[in-house]
Amino acid sequence: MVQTKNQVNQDTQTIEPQYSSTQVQMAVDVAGLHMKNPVTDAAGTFAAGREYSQFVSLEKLGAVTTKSVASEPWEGNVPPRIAEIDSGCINCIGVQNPGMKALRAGDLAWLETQNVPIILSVAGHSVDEYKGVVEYMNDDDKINAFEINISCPNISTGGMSLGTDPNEAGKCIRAVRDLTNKTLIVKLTPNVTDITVIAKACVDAGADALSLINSPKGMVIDAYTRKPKLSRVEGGMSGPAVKPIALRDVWETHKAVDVPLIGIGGIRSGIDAVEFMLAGATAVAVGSANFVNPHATLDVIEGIKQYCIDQGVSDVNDLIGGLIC
Amino acid sequence: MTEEKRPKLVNEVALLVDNRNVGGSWHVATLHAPRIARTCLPGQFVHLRIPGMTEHMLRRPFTIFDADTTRGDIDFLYGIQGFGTDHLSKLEPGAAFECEGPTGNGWSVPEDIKSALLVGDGTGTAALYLLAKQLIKNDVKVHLVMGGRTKHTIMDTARKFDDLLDGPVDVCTTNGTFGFSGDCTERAGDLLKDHSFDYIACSGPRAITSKVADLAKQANTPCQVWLGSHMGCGVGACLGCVTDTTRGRVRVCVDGPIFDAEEVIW
Repeated sequence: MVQTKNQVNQDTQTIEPQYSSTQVQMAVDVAGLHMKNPVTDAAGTFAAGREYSQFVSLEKLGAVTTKSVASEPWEGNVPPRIAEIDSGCINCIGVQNPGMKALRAGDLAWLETQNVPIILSVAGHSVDEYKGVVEYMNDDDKINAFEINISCPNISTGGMSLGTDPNEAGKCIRAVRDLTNKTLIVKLTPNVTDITVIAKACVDAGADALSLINSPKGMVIDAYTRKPKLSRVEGGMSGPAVKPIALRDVWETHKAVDVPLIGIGGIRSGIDAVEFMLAGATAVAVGSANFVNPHATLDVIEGIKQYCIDQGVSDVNDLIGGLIC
Repeated sequence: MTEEKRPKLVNEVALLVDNRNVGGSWHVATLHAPRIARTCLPGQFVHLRIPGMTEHMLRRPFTIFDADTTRGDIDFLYGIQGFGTDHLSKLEPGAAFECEGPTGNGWSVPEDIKSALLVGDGTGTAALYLLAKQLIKNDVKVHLVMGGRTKHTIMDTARKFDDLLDGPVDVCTTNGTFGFSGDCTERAGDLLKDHSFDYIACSGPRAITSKVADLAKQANTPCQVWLGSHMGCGVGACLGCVTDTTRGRVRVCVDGPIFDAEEVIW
C-alpha cells in the first residue's frame, strides 16, 4: 500500500509532501559521485536550483545538476521556445546561459551553500569551449562532477553535432578528461542510429559515467496559422512521451558499457525511476515533471523508497539492471 | 516589484467555487486560494495544474482578475482557446487545482500620478482590474478603454469595471455592436489627441500592446505593458517564456509579465 504522498495542511491548504521514515538504503555511487539517494534533476529544467528551492529543500536531493553553462554568455534561440505535445512538451531554448563567470559568481555560489552534491553541466560550440569551462571550474571543490552536454538538439554548432559522431565525441571527452579528476559524466543524445556506439566511444575516451537521454528531436505545427509552433521549427521533446525511448536506450547502453548510468526521460514518479534502475540506471534525473509538480524530485525519491518497502528491497542498488528478460 | 519584496510563492490546493460563462466563450472562474488571494499584487498571475489533464501536462498561467481577501478567493477571466481552456470551462465547483502563485512582478505605478489611461484588449483586460482598484484607492482618475470583438462577449466584464470606476468604461467592439467601432488602440489614439495622462497601462495581445507603447511614446507618457507568453515552469527555471528587452532576453514569468514599454524590443 503506497502512502499518500502529498497531504494538505488543513491550516494553510498548502501542499506539503509527507514522507515515511522507514529505512531503505538509498545511497548510490556514480563513479565517485556519492548521492544520498538516486535522484537529481535534468539539466535545463531546474536552473541552478534557486527557483525550485522555494518548494524543495535541495539538500534532500541526491545531487543538483545545473543548467548547462558555456564559456561565454549565450542568448539562446528567439521565442517561441516551448510548446505542449501529447504527454509532454517540446522546446528549442538553445542553452541560454549567463556564461561561466556570471554563473560562478551568482547562482553557483548560492547553490554551493545548499549542502548538496553539484553536477555542473557544460555546453560548448567547440571542443575548446568545453575545455574552457572545465578548466575554469575545475578548482572549485564544491563541484563534484561535470556533465558534458554533447547532445543538445537546439544549437547549430557543438552540442548534438559532437554527440552524434563517435570520433568527434571521443576527441571532446578525451580533451576534457585530461583537465579534471572530478567525476566525468557525458550526456548522450537519442538522435542516433545506435546510441551504444557513442556510449562506447565516450567510455573509451575516459568518461566515468553516462547520462541519457537528452531530448529526441521533433516538431509541432499549428494547422490554423500553417506555421511551426517553435521559432527554430524543430525542438527537443521531453516528458512521459519520451520515456519508452529513454528506457530502451538505457537498457541497450547498460548491456554495452560498464560504467554507471543516469537515466533521464519522462520520469515523474518513483515507479518511473525504478523502471530506469531495472533497465540499468544507477541514478535518475527528473526533468520536465518539475514544471508540472514543483515537488516532483522529492516525490520520486519517496516513491522509490516506498517501492522498495513494498517489494522488500533493502538496498536500492539491488534494483540496478534487475530487469528480468 | 523586486523579487525580494514579492509575496511568497506557494503551491496551494485550490477548490473551484464557481465557473460561469460571461458571454461568448468567455468565462470567469473563482478559486478558493486564500494564501494567494490575501497576498497577490495587481498584475500577478497563478500557474494552474488543471485537474483531469494528464496528457496535456503543462500548467497554464492565468492572470488574477480579482481577489477577495475576506473569502480568500481569486477570480480569473478566460476565453476558450484550445484543449485546456475548453476542458477548464466544463469543470464543476469542487474540482481541486494545484495553484502556484502569486507569480510575476506586478504593475509599478509611478508615484504621485493624478490620472491614468488603462487599455485592455480581450481577456487581457483582466490584468487591469486590480490595478484600477489600487489606482482609485490612491485617488488617481482612471480612464479605461476596453476592446473586444462583440458586445455579447465583453459586456459582462465591462459592467464589472463600470461598478468599480463609478462610470462607464470606454468600450470598443471590432464588429461595431457596441461603443466605439474599431479596436482599443484606435480609441486610445483618439483620446490621446485631446487628453493627457500621467501613466498608461496596457494589457492584451502583443499587436495591441506594441501599438499602445507607440502611442505612449508619441505622447511622452510613462507606459507599462503586460506581455503574455507560452510558459513551461512558471518559476523562472526553464527559460521557455523569454522576451527581448534592453536588459537582454529576460523571463516573462518572473522578470515580467509587466514591462516598461520603453524597455521592450518589439
